[in-house]
Amino acid sequence: MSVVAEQAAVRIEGLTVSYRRRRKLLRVLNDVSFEIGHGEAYGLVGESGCGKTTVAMALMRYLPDNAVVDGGRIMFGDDDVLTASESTLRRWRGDRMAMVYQDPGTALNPSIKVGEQIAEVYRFHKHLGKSDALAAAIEMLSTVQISAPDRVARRYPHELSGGQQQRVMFAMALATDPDLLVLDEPTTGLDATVEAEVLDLVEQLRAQFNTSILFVSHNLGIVARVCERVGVLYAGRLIEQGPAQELFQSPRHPYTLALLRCMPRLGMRKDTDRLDSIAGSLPPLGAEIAGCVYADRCPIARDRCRAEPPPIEPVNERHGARCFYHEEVPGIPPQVQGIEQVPAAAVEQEMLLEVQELVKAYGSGTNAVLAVAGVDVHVARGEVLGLVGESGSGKTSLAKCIVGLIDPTNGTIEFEHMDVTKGRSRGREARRRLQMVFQNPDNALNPSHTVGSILRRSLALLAGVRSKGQQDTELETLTRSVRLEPRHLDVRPSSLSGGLKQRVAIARSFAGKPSMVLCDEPTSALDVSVQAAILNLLVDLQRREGVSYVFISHDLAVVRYVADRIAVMYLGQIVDVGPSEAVFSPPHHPYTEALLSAIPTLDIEAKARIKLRGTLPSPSDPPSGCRFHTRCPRYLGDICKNEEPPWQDSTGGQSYRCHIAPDELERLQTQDAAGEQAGDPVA
Amino acid sequence: MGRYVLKRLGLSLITLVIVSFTVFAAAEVLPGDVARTVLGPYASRQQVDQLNHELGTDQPLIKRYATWAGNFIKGDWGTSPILNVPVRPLVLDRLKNSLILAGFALLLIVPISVLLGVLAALNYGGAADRIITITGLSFVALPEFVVGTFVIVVFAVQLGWFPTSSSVPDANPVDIFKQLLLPSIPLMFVLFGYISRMARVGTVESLRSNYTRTAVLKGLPQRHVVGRHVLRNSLLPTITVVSVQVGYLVGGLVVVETLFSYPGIGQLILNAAVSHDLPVLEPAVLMIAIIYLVANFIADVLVAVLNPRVRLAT
Amino acid sequence: MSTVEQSDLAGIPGGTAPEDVARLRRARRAELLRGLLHSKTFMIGAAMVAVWVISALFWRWITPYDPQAVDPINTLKAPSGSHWFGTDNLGRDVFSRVIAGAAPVLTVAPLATALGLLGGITLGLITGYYRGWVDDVFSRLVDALLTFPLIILAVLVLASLGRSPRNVILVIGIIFTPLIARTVRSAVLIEREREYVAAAQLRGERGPRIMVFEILPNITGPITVEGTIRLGYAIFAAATLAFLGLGIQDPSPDWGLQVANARAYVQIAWWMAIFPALALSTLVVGVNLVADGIRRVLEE
Repeated sequence: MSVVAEQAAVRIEGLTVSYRRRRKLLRVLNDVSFEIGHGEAYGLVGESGCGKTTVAMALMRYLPDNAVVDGGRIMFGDDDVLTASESTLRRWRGDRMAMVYQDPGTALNPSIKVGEQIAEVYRFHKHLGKSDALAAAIEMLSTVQISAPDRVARRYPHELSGGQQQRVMFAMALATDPDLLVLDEPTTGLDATVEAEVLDLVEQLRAQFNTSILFVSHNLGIVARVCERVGVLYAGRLIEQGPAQELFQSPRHPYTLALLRCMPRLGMRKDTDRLDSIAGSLPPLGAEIAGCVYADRCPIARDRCRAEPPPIEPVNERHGARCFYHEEVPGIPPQVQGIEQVPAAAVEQEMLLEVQELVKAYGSGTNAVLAVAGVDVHVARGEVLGLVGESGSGKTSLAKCIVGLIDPTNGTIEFEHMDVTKGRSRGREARRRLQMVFQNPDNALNPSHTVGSILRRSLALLAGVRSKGQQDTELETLTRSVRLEPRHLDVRPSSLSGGLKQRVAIARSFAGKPSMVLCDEPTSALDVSVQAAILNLLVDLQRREGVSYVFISHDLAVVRYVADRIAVMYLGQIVDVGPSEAVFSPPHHPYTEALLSAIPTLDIEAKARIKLRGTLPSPSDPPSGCRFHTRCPRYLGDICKNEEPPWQDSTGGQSYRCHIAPDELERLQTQDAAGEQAGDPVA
Repeated sequence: MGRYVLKRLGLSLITLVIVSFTVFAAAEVLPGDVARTVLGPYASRQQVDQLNHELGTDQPLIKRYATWAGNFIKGDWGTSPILNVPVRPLVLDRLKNSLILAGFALLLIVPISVLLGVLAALNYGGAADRIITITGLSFVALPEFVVGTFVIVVFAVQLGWFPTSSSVPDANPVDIFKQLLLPSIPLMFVLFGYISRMARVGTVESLRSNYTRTAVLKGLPQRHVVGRHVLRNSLLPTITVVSVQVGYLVGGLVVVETLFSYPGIGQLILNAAVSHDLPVLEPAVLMIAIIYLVANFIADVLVAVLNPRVRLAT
Repeated sequence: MSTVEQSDLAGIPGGTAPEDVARLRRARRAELLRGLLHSKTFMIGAAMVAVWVISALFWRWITPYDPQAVDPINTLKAPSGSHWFGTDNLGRDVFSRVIAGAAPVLTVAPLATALGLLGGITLGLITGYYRGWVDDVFSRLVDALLTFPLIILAVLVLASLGRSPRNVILVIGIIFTPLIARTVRSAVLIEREREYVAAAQLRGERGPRIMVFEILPNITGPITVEGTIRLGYAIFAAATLAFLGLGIQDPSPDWGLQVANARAYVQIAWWMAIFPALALSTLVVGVNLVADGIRRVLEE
């Protein structure tokens, strides 16, 4: 299975890498081989620990000291990167091959001006003089779509936004028109709209520079958008490879298939579709496995699979899968049969949570920053409200106020007819009924306590269960409900995987049988397959216990799957709210529209991207009138700048804040969608 | 930048006021009847009260502080009841001597410590690193009087290269070295320990950072990466440490000056404390505090100059 | 294949089969211990310290002569077969005095450190957790405190309060309190941001309970390192104060005091000063090596 015709730009042959950890050699990559053609974008995907970052680092030969390359070659034309001399390597880096990775804020030297950092590449690789190099740097900045490049060049990294910083990284990488560009999770951590902008930039730059790209990511949607071919890594082995669309539409390896089924897709709803998940767990790092590395978790594994390691079997000329039985893969049924036979808890009319005119300001006087600028929200019993917004939207502050960790500056919060505005004055009843699940399972559990003691403490304080005997009984029910096992109780959280830790965190919040749980990005820190399991759990618990959720996530696909109603926040205000389907289809607020178009999706009908102008304003200095007017692609004129937009009610119980009336907005948004099919760019 | 400087200056002044009050209170309030100490145990009650009244020790604390602070600023530091000399020239003269000694020590040791600390970091985990680190660790642990004693016994007594006690040197390099080298060795040992460790830590962190990775992946030569990218950021914490050490140094001076009979302010303070000579003690300690605050202030400004984040955030 | 996933207990780094989990718990503690035993710095330092601890505890049985026994005939004798470290100006055996001298310093320093730790941990927890104006005031005061070297502060206080081991312990302990509190506060500030603290607050836990039961167990590492380093300083400080005449008084065999007394005789009897000085050095260096070893092992 090789790239058709010309010699590939990069050829990785049999790459095998181990890490030395405490005197043991742990194998991380096992005989990985693939090619990237000239000007081609190759995506490398996989979950955490699969070794994809190691591949990226090996390409640049920037492996940590405890890494050992056991075998393989990385051919760059006729040269092997792995055996090149130090000086050759230095010549190639930044010139023939360049890298952009995540977290641009720390990747740039805080003490050196941005322009100079780009100019360095010109000075050392093209041997330009200082002023010529700087001029070239400024020109590069405009190539990456930074406005006022000469001014930006004189700034320091911390003065730029995340999106701008990443553009600077691209400028540095592409300054010398390299043969290979390695991108390692370049958009992780960036807001959805910023992420989309960066991906746009990548596409543009590809057209201009004809560089080969290796795009490493855990996000299949992004890779599908950007790359022509994709390789899937599992436990250090390349298990499937082929053209992107083909691989994602009809995968031929059980793992790829399972992974795709774990992701919530367009149109999937918790009431009707269940997310698939993958049984078992990743083999431990460096484990010696006879046979297929996926056999333990594979639904169609047979004895042969466990005895003999499969080679890459060709599916067709360009597509191959490391599976003896790859032909059977399309026929594998979903692992999770339908939904549990518990009828969905009816959403009652009774309002559980009423938030009115909530304001949260930080700082005081003229320096006050309004994180939440007057928000009304309500959640009914048994309902899931999805809360969506990017950084600066205020959703975290809102969540903290609701749950009582901080006190609002103004406004009221009423929960089950109790006034819970002040966090400290909440009684035990309020506390037990309104709980929270946090984002980062590593941080959310006290590493010094055992799981058992954490849960017992919650039982004691929230459910009032203090006697040991009673606790034991309750503990058993609790752990079973989140599918933990008794032996998990005696260990400390550090021994558990992310998914298990999150279950403990969920169990902890449910200890007092709450009526509402606030979930703050509960799955964002988890791998896709684990995420699916946790989402299923949350959905089951919700149905069984009739609990309401306020579900915060930046991942719109997840929110769409799980939420009954959705509220979209921008710069401290709610701009769009209503039942999920209503919010996700026109008419909806232009910001919602842009967010939706920014989701990289695996589904074919990808809409053309709606580009937002400008950058996110700072919450300390919000725009006048409609807060979104500085970026809105549907900006009408002065009315948007001077007047705060009114609430418009649309059909289906949705409301949004805009000067454009629902009928008109619907017409514009559907017309544009139709126009996109014909290839018209959105204004 | 201007705002930052002013803010720092303001903070320093506030600290100075707090410190001066603390010094004053500590010295005057702690048990120790001043007049009694001066006059001895056989003086009569009346004589003691009389002297106390003259010295003003029977007034309320705040009032005494205000008077004293006022006098201090005016430059009227009074006379020492124990030594019977005007205080100000005495204190300033001794301060000058100490600054010469401290300056000498700093001048010699700071560049070497920073250099070795950076070298250790660049050689992380290697032989040079271990040697430099362990040496630093050991040096920092040795009390000044221990090192001083060794140094005297070996170089002054046994080898006779240097005098066993030091006096203020004449202005030529030979005499400077002859008088100041031995007493500054104990100081240099401790300084080396702290400064080299800080330089090493700062450099290691810088080497491990993402921006260093970017620089390396851009194919920049090693020399440039270290010189331009790493050192700038790694030496910032070192500057702060050096300024802290200046303050610490004066403490070390107490011991060293006593050991070498060097007429500096440390020895003056010790004697004044033991003999309850408050008019000498208070300004002397306050002068040290001022020196320390000035050093800190300079360090803060230097950090701001080098670190754009600090400078622009004011 | 069963419907929902089985235990996904294996994380990626060091992923384990279920049986290994319990073993993991015990292994962690043993691993720390093993790490310490493997660390050369730690072992050498521990050996040096151990020598002096034994001396401090058992000097009565170890010393060849009575440390206080005066012998007017044999004054200022150089080291020899009968007096390994020579004799001092009163004819006392220096070797015995050096061995016995471990006791005063190893009483004062650990007590002072313990006092400092007690105050420092409490203060650090409170200011780090509650922050607010208490914290601001505290930080300001500590900064002010540090503007003059602590020796001077100690000198001031001891000169007034009187010189005795008890006062030395108090002074050093009180001076250490804000310094230790600083380190503890930094560690608390970091822990505070972690979500398990928020979770505890959500459960309705009270402040003191959160500080002691939630946060404190997670900062024992930095506290241990800090405590060991401070112990080194305490030894350093106590000896220096004795040297300056502000601590323990004659005829104690305290090393600092011995060096001070030896100054007058340094031209003719170098052994009086060198051996106590050496003893002090080895103790302090040992403690520092131990501290460094602990820090390294905890960092892994």
